[in-house]
Amino acid sequence: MKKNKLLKSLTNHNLNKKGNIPLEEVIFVLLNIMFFSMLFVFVYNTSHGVFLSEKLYAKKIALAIDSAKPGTQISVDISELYGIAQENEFDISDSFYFKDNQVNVKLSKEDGYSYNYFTNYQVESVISFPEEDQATLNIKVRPND
Amino acid sequence: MIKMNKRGEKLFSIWWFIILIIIGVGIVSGVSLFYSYNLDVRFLESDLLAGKVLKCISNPEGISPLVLEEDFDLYGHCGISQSVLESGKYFVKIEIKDFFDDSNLTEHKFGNNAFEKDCEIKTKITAVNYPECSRKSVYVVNEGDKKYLVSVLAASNYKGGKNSNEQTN
Repeated sequence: MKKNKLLKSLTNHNLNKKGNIPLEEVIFVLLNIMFFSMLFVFVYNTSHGVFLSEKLYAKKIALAIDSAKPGTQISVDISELYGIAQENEFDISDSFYFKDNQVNVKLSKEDGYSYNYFTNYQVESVISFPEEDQATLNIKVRPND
Repeated sequence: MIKMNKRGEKLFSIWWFIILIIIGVGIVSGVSLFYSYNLDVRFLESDLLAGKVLKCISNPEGISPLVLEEDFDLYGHCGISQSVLESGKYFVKIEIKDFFDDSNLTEHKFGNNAFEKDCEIKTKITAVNYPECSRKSVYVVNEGDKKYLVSVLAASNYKGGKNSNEQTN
């Protein structure tokens, strides 16, 4: 008897007399879905965002330069950045530049991200494309004259 | 905007808004903290800087005689960028002591001198906005059997930033 009552309340409590779901409950569910979708979009954008990738690679490259000896050639796999730049219709060959002891990484038309390297090296960089959808940044460090 | 269904339950109650705000703020701050913490490379940078300076002034044959001079030029001798080191975000201190009597033979400081005190404080407390420091020491035997203790303290509080400069090369 109790079981039947519980089942009835679970199945029918959302219905009004005509058997329709009340509007306020629909709005309530929709607002919840909207809110959690917004949170999901925020988390996704933060973890896959252009800014995060620019920041990550600028720091990675700066640290690699600082730990290198003169004459070292550094190869960095930038296939992930190549994909992001393509999505943003940005030319990957304009994404990296080295100036005044700073590495600058830019993957969209927005401002990029820059990070200092403290070693006084002359840095030359070339991007190569070993396979389709793959890209490598080749950096050569030399002592400053 | 408090509405009740037939059984008197409040759907749009103040508690619902409070719970959503708590969940939202929690997730946003958690995600932001997680990604900013993972990208903090100041400690690696100060460690690299200390190692680089130490390797530059000492080697298996002894210490560089230039470092014992009063006007030692770290930038020219060790290939470190003056503009970067003196940007206020870095600090390097070189100390050379006699190994036996611990007397200070020479001391050089470069960059932001305030970081020296900050590094001392940081050994006692946790301070996120203070610079990350790295101290390295080596024992060096010079020609003539003279023994030195070379210590390098390096600190970095550089966090990088957005770049608005246009590409020029």
